[in-house]
Amino acid sequence: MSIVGQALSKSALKKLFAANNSCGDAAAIVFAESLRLFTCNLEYLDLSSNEITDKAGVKLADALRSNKKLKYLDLSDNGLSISTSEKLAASIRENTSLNQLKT
Amino acid sequence: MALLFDSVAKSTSICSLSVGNEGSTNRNRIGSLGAKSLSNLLQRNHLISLLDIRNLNIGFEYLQIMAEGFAKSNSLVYINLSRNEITAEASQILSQALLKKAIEGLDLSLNPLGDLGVRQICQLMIHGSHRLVRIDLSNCSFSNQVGNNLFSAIVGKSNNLIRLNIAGNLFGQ
Repeated sequence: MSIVGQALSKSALKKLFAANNSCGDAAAIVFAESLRLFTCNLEYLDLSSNEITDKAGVKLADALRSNKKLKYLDLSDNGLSISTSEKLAASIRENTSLNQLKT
Repeated sequence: MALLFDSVAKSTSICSLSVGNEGSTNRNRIGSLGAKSLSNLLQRNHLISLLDIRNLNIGFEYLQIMAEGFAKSNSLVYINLSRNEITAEASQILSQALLKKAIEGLDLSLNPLGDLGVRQICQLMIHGSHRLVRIDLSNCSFSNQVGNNLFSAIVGKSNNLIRLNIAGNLFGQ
């Protein structure tokens, strides 16, 4: 697991503001994989303006199905298609913790 | 500003001091006399826990003057030093001054720390006697490599961190 993944899944970190960092899909997939772990304590994640495309968007949508802690997720100003937005919409029907989603 | 700091130094009730400039206003200026007075205040007053000195053009020169105050304060918990032209050199002085302090929150956003400056903050996170809970390093011009150092610190000894802001850097590149 990458160092970022370890930090997200083995720490007390609850709020991460990471907007506008050119993260791209590779880093966003790490975030998605971490969100799937019950040890991840993130409640607030801002990944806006990070050149994220459908490849990572789908992984994030999948992660939302099982995540039970995230309350805020900002994916605005990325390259997500309508199809991925629909997957996100389907996921949040199963998610019980998310209060705010920005795409 | 020196007069204000001298008065606050004798106060027995003020625990939060905000003298920074908000937004684009630059009405408050600190100067070397103000920096010295603030340093004295922090050494004498044992109540100030929150210090907001954002956007005062502090830079290396005035931070060097204030460092003794930071190092000898026994009440500071949160410092906002946002937008103060703090470079790697100044970051080193700050990290050393705070190494044995009970600082829980540090806002260094909008400062040109660069990779070297953020490495100094990582050292503070790893070797500091008290663990930071919230840190703002947004728009500090650091790279992916140093971003990984930051996350390594979180995995290691700085695992009390709850809130991290790294927006507007080059973490993904």
